[in-house]
Amino acid sequence: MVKMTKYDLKPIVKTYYDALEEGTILGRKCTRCGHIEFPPYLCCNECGGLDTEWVDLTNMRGIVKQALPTKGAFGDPEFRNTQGDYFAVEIEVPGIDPFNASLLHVDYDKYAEFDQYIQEHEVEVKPLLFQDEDMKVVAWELVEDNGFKKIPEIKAPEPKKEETKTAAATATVDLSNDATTQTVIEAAADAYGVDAAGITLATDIREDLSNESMKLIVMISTIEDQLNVTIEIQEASNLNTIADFVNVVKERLGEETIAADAAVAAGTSAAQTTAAASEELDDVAKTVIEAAADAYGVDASGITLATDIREDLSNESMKMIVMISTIEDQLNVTIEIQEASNLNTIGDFVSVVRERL
Amino acid sequence: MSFNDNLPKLKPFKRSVSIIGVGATPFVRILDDPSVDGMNEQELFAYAARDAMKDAGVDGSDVEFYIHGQAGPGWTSNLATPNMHVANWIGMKGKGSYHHSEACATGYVGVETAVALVASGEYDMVLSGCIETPYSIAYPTRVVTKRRFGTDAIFHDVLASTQCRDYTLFTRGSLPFNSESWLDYYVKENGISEEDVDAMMTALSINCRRAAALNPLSTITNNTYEELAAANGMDSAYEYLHSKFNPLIGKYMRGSHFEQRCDGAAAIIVCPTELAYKYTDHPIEILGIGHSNVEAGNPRNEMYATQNAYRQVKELTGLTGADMDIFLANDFYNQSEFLSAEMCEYLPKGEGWQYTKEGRIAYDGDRPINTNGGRCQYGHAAGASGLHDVYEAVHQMRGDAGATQVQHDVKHALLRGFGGSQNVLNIMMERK
Repeated sequence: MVKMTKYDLKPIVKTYYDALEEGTILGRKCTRCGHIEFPPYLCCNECGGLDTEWVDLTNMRGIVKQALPTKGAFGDPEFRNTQGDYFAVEIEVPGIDPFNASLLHVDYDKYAEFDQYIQEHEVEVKPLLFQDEDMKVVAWELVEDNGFKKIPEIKAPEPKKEETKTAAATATVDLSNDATTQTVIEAAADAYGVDAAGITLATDIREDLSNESMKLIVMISTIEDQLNVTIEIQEASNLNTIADFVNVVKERLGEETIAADAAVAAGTSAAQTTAAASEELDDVAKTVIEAAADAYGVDASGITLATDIREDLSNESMKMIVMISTIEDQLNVTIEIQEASNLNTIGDFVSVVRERL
Repeated sequence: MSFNDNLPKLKPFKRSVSIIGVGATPFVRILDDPSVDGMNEQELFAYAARDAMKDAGVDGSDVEFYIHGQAGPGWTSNLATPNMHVANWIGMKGKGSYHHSEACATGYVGVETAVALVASGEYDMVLSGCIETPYSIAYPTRVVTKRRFGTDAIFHDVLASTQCRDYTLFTRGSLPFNSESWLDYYVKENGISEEDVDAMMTALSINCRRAAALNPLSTITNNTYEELAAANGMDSAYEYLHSKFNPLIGKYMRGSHFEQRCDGAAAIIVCPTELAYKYTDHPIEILGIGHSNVEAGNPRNEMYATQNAYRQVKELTGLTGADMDIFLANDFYNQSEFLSAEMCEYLPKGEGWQYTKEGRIAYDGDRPINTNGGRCQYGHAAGASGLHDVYEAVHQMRGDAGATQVQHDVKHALLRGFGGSQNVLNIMMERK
């Protein structure tokens, strides 16, 4: 009997994505029947064969068999923001099982015509590699224009605002003079069947009104109709308060948002954090940093209060235990292991130790 | 040749297995309903299990093994071993059990796995129960009576987690295909006009809601669309369903065509059919269970998996959907009702949409489907819903389903479950 060794474990998914970084698209071809697995899997789904080998599919072409719109409840708004409008499509490539994919660089407004066109014509597509956060991914694009192609103008993503509760910060806004705010509040009152007088910017949709999805959908739909803006359902699922909705609408309408003072507050908080991180290290901080350097086997000069223990040093539990033990010995405090599992940065540990001292 | 042709022929069970007891809690929303405030995973499972045992005329000393199903023990409850968390609750301390988790297909797999344990001869009486609280989820470490909302954002992440993260999720094509690709394909295949699609989908909502409003197990739906329309100053359900209260959320689907999350549990007791007559004159025999999984990277995976699972159970039993008297289906996407029923030959090929439009699949129609109201109106507690389907089918077969009892004798039932993008089972049952 020949036992498998770790050298027999040849990564497939990683090899696939690594190749995409080099502009190459790989599949796996069955050594018995010749069927191609794309995306690549270990064994053959056509004949059940156990052995496949790499095959270069960079120049493959496919035919669009079905296309669906992607705005509404089932698309991906974040993907659209970074890559532009897209259709969800079924693609057929000879020798490969049909698969679902996204078709980029399309004129979304022509979905109905495109849907009709693919019923009557063989519409050829080719792979299109795009950057998806920290990796390259395969999407598809039309080979021929036929009036359906449209290269999107992608706006540079706006820097993310600090998440903050807008309730307190917006308490002083005069609601009676703001038409957008009033419309959102009335839409909420209508959808959730409550009196508008009881709704403020601080009202949390789910906690204070209802967690029922359908009511949220109705509220969005009313806002869209009345203010001629679009709010994606998935996007709305991450908005909590009336103020969150008002600000999204205001952004789309080009109006000034109402959380300006909240943003200031968040900025202050960030500034304070930065100041804390750069402040001169006291003995406690120095001790914790040296304990970490010792336990994790790294140079103390590379460790700051912002260093994330697991992300920047190591996720090994044993090293954490050693670090805690060293801190306890040197500073005569107790840190429970379970407690430590919820602390992330060196600064978190320093804060806990300072509290105990 | 395709992978769909490479499926096994089912073999008969080693011994016949029947359902002798069913139990179900109402579908509730714990956080919205003061009457069930503090209810939790353990209690819901226990109430459903006890209901099933009482229905069967057995107790914890008779049942030899139990199976626990929950679609999302991680996201709704933070439980690594959910079966252990109910071990002290149902009078079965010390007896063997295991947990399984197949998203919304969990209840259907719960039937298959219980039947397998009995059919093999290993056990004579098995309880299979499923529980889910996706609307009112637990805190990771607090006592189970403390709940928080399972929000749309959390739910969407869970839905996305059913998409494989080797490749499928990153295509961005799979979720839109999960929801509407079969319907889109069907509409084109049958040349159905836009007006007829709309009429069919509207009738679907109206009739499901009629059933749910009559069903005391659905606590989230207490009125019909006609009543809702009147309450909002409208003339008809049609007007209401085309108003701002029911916007389009996809190419064909409106808000009323999507599942409504709620909390609940259900359970069944199975034993050898031979033994079943000790407890009932009319055991419900499980004739066969077809099972096919087609992952979400494959277009119209629900359609192909339904076709595969039905073919298996049809070949095994020699019965077709046309021989069935009732059909129940996971209708997480409402249109799955008639699409799967037609695929399983319960409705004539190419005519399912007309049956739907004409109300013939309503509980008081001649080819009833989802007489409990279905997941979009009755409610959907993820892994527990499949056993709610079984509960409904068994009561329909006994003739004691209450206000939504169908108008003909129900000897045969066909159930089509799916979940987890997509794990599809077809369960064929016969009243002895």
